[in-house]
Amino acid sequence: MGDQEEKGIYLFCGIQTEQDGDSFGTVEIEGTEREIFTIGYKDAAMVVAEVPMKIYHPNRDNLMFHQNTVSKVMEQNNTVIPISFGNVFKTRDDVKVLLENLYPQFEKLFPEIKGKIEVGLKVIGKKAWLENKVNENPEAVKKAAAVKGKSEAASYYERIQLGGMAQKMVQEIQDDIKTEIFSPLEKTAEAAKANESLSETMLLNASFLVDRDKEELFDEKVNEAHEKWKDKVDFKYTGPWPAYNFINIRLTVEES
Amino acid sequence: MAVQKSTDSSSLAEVIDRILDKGIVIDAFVRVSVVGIEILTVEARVVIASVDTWLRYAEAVGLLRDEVEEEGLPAQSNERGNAQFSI
Repeated sequence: MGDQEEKGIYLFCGIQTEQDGDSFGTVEIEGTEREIFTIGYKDAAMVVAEVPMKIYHPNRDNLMFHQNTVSKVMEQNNTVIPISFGNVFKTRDDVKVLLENLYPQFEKLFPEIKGKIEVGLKVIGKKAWLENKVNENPEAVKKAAAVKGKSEAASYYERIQLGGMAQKMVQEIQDDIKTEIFSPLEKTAEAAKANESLSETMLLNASFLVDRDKEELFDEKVNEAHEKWKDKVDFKYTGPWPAYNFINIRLTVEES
Repeated sequence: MAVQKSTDSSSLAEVIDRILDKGIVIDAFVRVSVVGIEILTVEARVVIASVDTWLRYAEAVGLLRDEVEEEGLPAQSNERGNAQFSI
């Protein structure tokens, strides 16, 4: 233990940088302060820390040390390529080899993401509003009344039909929200992506790539939409993130 | 009164949603064998300006998800109450 521990290099993100040795301070990883440093190649660098070689579990503290470090880097650098959580390489040379191999991709990515941030917008339907919507549908109300008082087994097919109705309704609301909220915001963004909803009442789960110059304008647009919809839905607006949803690089080793 | 964005720790679910399987995702095998290997397969897809379906690497993520559920779920289910942002 202690000094005898095997060390590895933990990866936070890639950046574009003209200088060697950017300084991003330290980060506390599982109780120990670690220095954040860079490993460079041409105008690219990996932001890393030396840590004990082991598997880092994605618990709250660990996820947050990763995220907080990336946020800190983003405050100083406007071209950040996000790397997923938990990657530890054996040596600095390994990281360098990796960066050299990734460089052609980085070169293409840098101009695309320079000065841009990702923001997330989740729209969640308020329960009362959704229930009201259901009550506007006479067929659903009738069916729901018919199911009441019956055993689950006796009303099995009716329950399935009810479920189908509810799903169709939510789908229709999701389509409305896409037209009314997502599409207008997409126009102010450089790129937009609608991910799958994570729960039944989530009506929109979107990410937008926004130019820093248009960040304020985009915030305003989100607020305008919120003003219009706030009685019906809740907004969960997050960012700035690095472009997690707009960069998809999968690395595997080809066995030859 | 405005909706303001943030990335603070109250949004752990948002963090999980991003940092586990998005951005650059590295196969565990790359991590243990990178030195001397010249043939790294880079499957890059930059989805700038498009709305492609996300390729989910279910196995890899599935492994991680269990851990998250153990330690991260209470925070996530709080979030379902979604009362944290200022309206």
